[in-house]
Amino acid sequence: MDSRISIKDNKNVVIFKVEGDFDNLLCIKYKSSITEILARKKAELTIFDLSQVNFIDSSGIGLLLGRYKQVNEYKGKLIICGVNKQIKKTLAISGIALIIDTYEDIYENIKESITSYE
Amino acid sequence: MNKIEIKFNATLENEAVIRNTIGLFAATINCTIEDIIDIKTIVSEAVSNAIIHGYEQDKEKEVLVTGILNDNELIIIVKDDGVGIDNIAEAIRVNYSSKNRSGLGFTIIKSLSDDLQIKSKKDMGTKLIIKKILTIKGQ
Ligand SMILES: Nc1ncnc2c1ncn2[C@@H]1O[C@H](COP(=O)(O)OP(=O)(O)OP(=O)(O)O)[C@@H](O)[C@H]1O
Ligand SMILES: [Mg+2]
Repeated sequence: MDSRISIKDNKNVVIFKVEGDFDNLLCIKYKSSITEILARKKAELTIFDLSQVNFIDSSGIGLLLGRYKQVNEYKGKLIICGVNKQIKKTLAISGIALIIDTYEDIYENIKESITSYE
Repeated sequence: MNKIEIKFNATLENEAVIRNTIGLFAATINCTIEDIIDIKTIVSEAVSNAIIHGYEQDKEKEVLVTGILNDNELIIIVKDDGVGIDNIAEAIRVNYSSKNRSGLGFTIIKSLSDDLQIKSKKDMGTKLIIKKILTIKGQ
Protein backbone atom coordinates (compact mmCIF):
# COMPACT_ATOMS: atom_id res chain seq x y z
CA MET A 1 0.00 0.00 0.00
CA ASP A 2 3.05 2.23 0.26
CA SER A 3 3.18 3.68 -3.23
CA ARG A 4 5.86 6.18 -4.11
CA ILE A 5 8.11 7.63 -6.79
CA SER A 6 11.81 8.02 -6.10
CA ILE A 7 14.26 9.96 -8.20
CA LYS A 8 17.76 9.03 -9.30
CA ASP A 9 19.46 11.97 -10.84
CA ASN A 10 22.64 11.47 -12.88
CA LYS A 11 24.32 13.94 -15.16
CA ASN A 12 22.32 13.49 -18.33
CA VAL A 13 19.87 10.88 -17.15
CA VAL A 14 16.96 11.19 -14.74
CA ILE A 15 15.33 8.02 -13.51
CA PHE A 16 11.92 7.99 -11.85
CA LYS A 17 11.27 4.72 -10.10
CA VAL A 18 7.59 4.16 -9.49
CA GLU A 19 6.53 1.68 -6.81
CA GLY A 20 3.07 0.35 -5.95
CA ASP A 21 -0.12 1.73 -7.48
CA PHE A 22 0.42 4.23 -10.29
CA ASP A 23 -3.01 5.82 -9.83
CA ASN A 24 -4.71 9.18 -9.22
CA LEU A 25 -3.42 9.61 -5.68
CA LEU A 26 0.17 8.92 -6.62
CA CYS A 27 0.00 11.23 -9.64
CA ILE A 28 -1.49 14.09 -7.63
CA LYS A 29 1.26 13.67 -5.07
CA TYR A 30 4.21 13.69 -7.49
CA LYS A 31 3.15 15.38 -10.74
CA SER A 32 4.29 18.91 -9.96
CA SER A 33 7.68 17.89 -8.57
CA ILE A 34 8.39 15.60 -11.53
CA THR A 35 7.41 18.38 -13.94
CA GLU A 36 9.60 20.84 -12.06
CA ILE A 37 12.64 18.51 -12.03
CA LEU A 38 12.36 17.88 -15.76
CA ALA A 39 11.98 21.60 -16.52
CA ARG A 40 15.07 22.40 -14.45
CA LYS A 41 17.33 19.52 -15.55
CA LYS A 42 16.32 19.18 -19.19
CA ALA A 43 18.22 15.87 -19.13
CA GLU A 44 18.88 14.14 -22.42
CA LEU A 45 17.30 10.93 -21.21
CA THR A 46 14.35 10.47 -18.84
CA ILE A 47 13.48 6.99 -17.68
CA PHE A 48 10.36 5.77 -15.94
CA ASP A 49 11.17 2.50 -14.22
CA LEU A 50 7.88 0.62 -13.71
CA SER A 51 9.40 -2.66 -12.56
CA GLN A 52 7.90 -2.24 -9.07
CA VAL A 53 4.47 -1.09 -10.25
CA ASN A 54 1.65 -3.51 -9.61
CA PHE A 55 -1.18 -1.38 -10.92
CA ILE A 56 -1.60 1.39 -13.49
CA ASP A 57 -4.68 3.21 -14.77
CA SER A 58 -5.42 6.16 -17.06
CA SER A 59 -4.03 8.64 -14.55
CA GLY A 60 -0.60 6.97 -14.59
CA ILE A 61 -0.78 6.81 -18.38
CA GLY A 62 -1.74 10.49 -18.42
CA LEU A 63 1.28 11.41 -16.33
CA LEU A 64 3.61 9.47 -18.64
CA LEU A 65 2.09 11.07 -21.76
CA GLY A 66 2.29 14.54 -20.27
CA ARG A 67 5.95 14.12 -19.33
CA TYR A 68 6.68 12.65 -22.76
CA LYS A 69 5.32 15.84 -24.33
CA GLN A 70 7.28 17.99 -21.91
CA VAL A 71 10.56 16.19 -22.62
CA ASN A 72 9.89 16.36 -26.36
CA GLU A 73 9.66 20.13 -26.19
CA TYR A 74 13.30 20.40 -25.21
CA LYS A 75 14.28 17.59 -27.57
CA GLY A 76 15.00 15.09 -24.83
CA LYS A 77 14.16 11.40 -24.90
CA LEU A 78 11.79 9.54 -22.58
CA ILE A 79 11.55 5.79 -22.22
CA ILE A 80 9.62 3.39 -20.01
CA CYS A 81 11.25 0.23 -18.72
CA GLY A 82 10.48 -2.69 -16.41
CA VAL A 83 7.08 -3.17 -18.02
CA ASN A 84 5.36 -6.43 -17.05
CA LYS A 85 2.69 -8.20 -19.08
CA GLN A 86 -0.31 -6.60 -17.42
CA ILE A 87 1.07 -3.07 -17.58
CA LYS A 88 2.01 -3.65 -21.19
CA LYS A 89 -1.62 -4.50 -21.89
CA THR A 90 -2.86 -1.20 -20.46
CA LEU A 91 -0.14 0.74 -22.30
CA ALA A 92 -1.18 -0.98 -25.53
CA ILE A 93 -4.89 -0.21 -25.07
CA SER A 94 -4.03 3.43 -24.46
CA GLY A 95 -1.94 3.67 -27.59
CA ILE A 96 0.98 4.93 -25.50
CA ALA A 97 3.11 1.97 -26.59
CA LEU A 98 3.04 3.37 -30.13
CA ILE A 99 4.38 6.73 -29.02
CA ILE A 100 6.83 5.99 -26.22
CA ASP A 101 9.64 3.40 -26.35
CA THR A 102 8.88 0.73 -23.77
CA TYR A 103 11.13 -2.08 -22.54
CA GLU A 104 10.31 -5.17 -20.53
CA ASP A 105 13.78 -5.18 -19.06
CA ILE A 106 14.85 -3.05 -16.14
CA TYR A 107 17.11 -0.12 -16.92
CA GLU A 108 20.29 -1.86 -15.72
CA ASN A 109 19.87 -4.48 -18.45
CA ILE A 110 19.19 -2.13 -21.35
CA LYS A 111 21.76 0.44 -20.23
CA GLU A 112 24.29 -0.92 -22.71
CA SER A 113 22.15 -0.03 -25.70
CA ILE A 114 21.62 3.53 -24.54
CA THR A 115 24.93 4.28 -22.81
CA SER A 116 25.64 7.16 -25.16
CA TYR A 117 23.65 9.30 -22.74
CA GLU A 118 25.81 8.57 -19.68
CA MET B 1 -25.72 -15.63 -7.40
CA ASN B 2 -23.57 -13.55 -5.04
CA LYS B 3 -23.82 -9.82 -4.55
CA ILE B 4 -21.82 -7.07 -2.86
CA GLU B 5 -22.74 -3.40 -2.50
CA ILE B 6 -20.49 -0.60 -1.34
CA LYS B 7 -21.47 3.01 -0.78
CA PHE B 8 -18.62 5.42 -0.21
CA ASN B 9 -17.73 9.10 -0.09
CA ALA B 10 -16.53 10.68 -3.31
CA THR B 11 -12.86 10.99 -2.46
CA LEU B 12 -9.91 9.54 -4.36
CA GLU B 13 -8.65 8.12 -1.06
CA ASN B 14 -11.35 5.47 -1.52
CA GLU B 15 -10.42 4.54 -5.10
CA ALA B 16 -7.86 1.85 -4.18
CA VAL B 17 -10.06 0.40 -1.43
CA ILE B 18 -12.97 -0.07 -3.82
CA ARG B 19 -10.98 -1.56 -6.74
CA ASN B 20 -9.20 -3.96 -4.38
CA THR B 21 -12.49 -4.99 -2.75
CA ILE B 22 -14.18 -5.76 -6.08
CA GLY B 23 -11.02 -7.62 -7.14
CA LEU B 24 -11.23 -9.76 -3.99
CA PHE B 25 -14.94 -10.32 -4.62
CA ALA B 26 -14.20 -11.70 -8.09
CA ALA B 27 -11.43 -13.87 -6.64
CA THR B 28 -14.05 -15.81 -4.64
CA ILE B 29 -14.79 -17.80 -7.79
CA ASN B 30 -11.11 -18.58 -8.31
CA CYS B 31 -10.65 -16.58 -11.50
CA THR B 32 -7.26 -15.80 -12.99
CA ILE B 33 -4.93 -13.08 -11.69
CA GLU B 34 -5.17 -11.43 -15.09
CA ASP B 35 -8.96 -11.14 -14.71
CA ILE B 36 -8.53 -9.66 -11.25
CA ILE B 37 -6.15 -6.99 -12.51
CA ASP B 38 -8.52 -6.20 -15.41
CA ILE B 39 -11.37 -5.82 -12.92
CA LYS B 40 -9.33 -3.56 -10.65
CA THR B 41 -8.47 -1.37 -13.65
CA ILE B 42 -12.10 -1.19 -14.82
CA VAL B 43 -13.32 -0.28 -11.33
CA SER B 44 -10.59 2.30 -10.91
CA GLU B 45 -11.59 4.06 -14.14
CA ALA B 46 -15.32 3.99 -13.40
CA VAL B 47 -14.94 5.09 -9.78
CA SER B 48 -12.47 7.88 -10.54
CA ASN B 49 -14.84 9.22 -13.21
CA ALA B 50 -17.71 9.27 -10.71
CA ILE B 51 -15.55 11.10 -8.16
CA ILE B 52 -13.72 13.51 -10.49
CA HIS B 53 -16.35 14.25 -13.14
CA GLY B 54 -19.66 13.25 -11.54
CA TYR B 55 -19.04 14.95 -8.22
CA GLU B 56 -16.10 17.30 -8.85
CA GLN B 57 -14.49 15.61 -5.81
CA ASP B 58 -17.18 16.83 -3.43
CA LYS B 59 -16.45 14.55 -0.49
CA GLU B 60 -19.97 14.89 0.90
CA LYS B 61 -21.39 13.04 -2.12
CA GLU B 62 -21.70 9.26 -2.36
CA VAL B 63 -20.88 6.71 -5.04
CA LEU B 64 -22.53 3.30 -5.12
CA VAL B 65 -20.69 0.27 -6.48
CA THR B 66 -22.40 -3.09 -6.89
CA GLY B 67 -20.76 -6.37 -7.84
CA ILE B 68 -22.86 -9.34 -8.91
CA LEU B 69 -21.44 -12.77 -9.63
CA ASN B 70 -23.49 -15.26 -11.63
CA ASP B 71 -21.36 -18.32 -12.23
CA ASN B 72 -18.38 -16.91 -14.13
CA GLU B 73 -20.11 -13.69 -15.16
CA LEU B 74 -19.34 -10.54 -13.18
CA ILE B 75 -21.54 -7.46 -13.39
CA ILE B 76 -20.14 -4.24 -11.98
CA ILE B 77 -22.48 -1.28 -11.53
CA VAL B 78 -21.05 2.13 -10.68
CA LYS B 79 -23.57 4.85 -9.93
CA ASP B 80 -23.31 8.51 -9.05
CA ASP B 81 -25.96 11.24 -8.80
CA GLY B 82 -23.64 13.89 -10.17
CA VAL B 83 -23.53 16.19 -13.18
CA GLY B 84 -24.25 13.47 -15.72
CA ILE B 85 -23.03 13.20 -19.30
CA ASP B 86 -24.62 15.43 -21.91
CA ASN B 87 -23.18 13.71 -24.99
CA ILE B 88 -22.31 10.05 -24.40
CA ALA B 89 -21.01 9.45 -27.95
CA GLU B 90 -18.52 12.26 -27.48
CA ALA B 91 -17.56 11.15 -23.95
CA ILE B 92 -16.57 7.64 -25.04
CA ARG B 93 -14.42 8.83 -27.90
CA VAL B 94 -10.73 7.99 -27.47
CA ASN B 95 -8.83 10.91 -25.95
CA TYR B 96 -11.94 13.00 -25.31
CA SER B 97 -11.81 14.69 -21.93
CA SER B 98 -13.80 17.61 -20.58
CA LYS B 99 -11.08 18.18 -18.01
CA ASN B 100 -7.83 18.24 -19.94
CA ARG B 101 -7.03 14.67 -18.88
CA SER B 102 -5.99 12.00 -21.34
CA GLY B 103 -9.53 10.79 -22.04
CA LEU B 104 -8.64 7.11 -21.85
CA GLY B 105 -10.92 5.85 -19.07
CA PHE B 106 -13.83 4.70 -21.23
CA THR B 107 -11.47 3.26 -23.85
CA ILE B 108 -9.80 1.15 -21.15
CA ILE B 109 -13.11 0.00 -19.64
CA LYS B 110 -14.45 -0.99 -23.06
CA SER B 111 -11.42 -3.00 -24.07
CA LEU B 112 -11.07 -4.84 -20.74
CA SER B 113 -14.76 -5.75 -20.41
CA ASP B 114 -17.26 -7.76 -22.41
CA ASP B 115 -20.01 -5.16 -22.32
CA LEU B 116 -20.44 -1.56 -21.22
CA GLN B 117 -23.76 0.24 -20.87
CA ILE B 118 -23.84 3.91 -19.99
CA LYS B 119 -27.02 5.42 -18.58
CA SER B 120 -26.62 9.12 -18.10
CA LYS B 121 -28.32 12.46 -18.61
CA LYS B 122 -27.17 15.97 -17.87
CA ASP B 123 -27.77 16.75 -14.17
CA MET B 124 -29.27 13.28 -13.66
CA GLY B 125 -26.18 11.31 -12.65
CA THR B 126 -24.44 8.43 -14.34
CA LYS B 127 -24.77 4.68 -14.11
CA LEU B 128 -22.34 2.29 -15.74
CA ILE B 129 -23.24 -1.37 -16.11
CA ILE B 130 -20.17 -3.39 -16.97
CA LYS B 131 -20.05 -7.09 -17.75
CA LYS B 132 -16.98 -9.26 -17.61
CA ILE B 133 -16.79 -12.98 -18.26
CA LEU B 134 -14.18 -14.51 -15.96
CA THR B 135 -11.86 -17.40 -16.66
CA ILE B 136 -11.74 -19.94 -13.87
CA LYS B 137 -8.23 -21.10 -12.97
CA GLY B 138 -7.30 -24.53 -14.24
CA GLN B 139 -10.29 -24.87 -16.55
N1 LIG C 1 -19.45 9.75 -13.96
C1 LIG C 1 -19.35 10.77 -14.83
N2 LIG C 1 -20.06 11.91 -14.66
C2 LIG C 1 -19.97 12.94 -15.52
N3 LIG C 1 -19.18 12.94 -16.61
C3 LIG C 1 -18.43 11.83 -16.84
C4 LIG C 1 -18.48 10.70 -15.97
N4 LIG C 1 -17.64 9.75 -16.47
C5 LIG C 1 -17.10 10.28 -17.58
N5 LIG C 1 -17.56 11.52 -17.82
C6 LIG C 1 -17.23 12.38 -18.99
O1 LIG C 1 -16.65 11.56 -19.99
C7 LIG C 1 -15.36 12.04 -20.34
C8 LIG C 1 -14.46 10.88 -20.75
O2 LIG C 1 -14.17 10.03 -19.62
P1 LIG C 1 -12.82 9.20 -19.65
O3 LIG C 1 -12.70 8.44 -18.39
O4 LIG C 1 -12.75 8.44 -20.92
O5 LIG C 1 -11.70 10.36 -19.73
P2 LIG C 1 -11.18 11.32 -18.56
O6 LIG C 1 -11.68 10.87 -17.24
O7 LIG C 1 -11.49 12.72 -18.94
O8 LIG C 1 -9.59 11.10 -18.64
P3 LIG C 1 -8.80 9.83 -18.01
O9 LIG C 1 -9.81 8.77 -17.70
O10 LIG C 1 -7.86 9.43 -19.10
O11 LIG C 1 -8.13 10.35 -16.79
C9 LIG C 1 -14.90 12.81 -19.13
O12 LIG C 1 -13.91 13.78 -19.46
C10 LIG C 1 -16.20 13.44 -18.65
O13 LIG C 1 -16.51 14.59 -19.39
MG1 LIG D 1 -11.55 8.89 -16.60
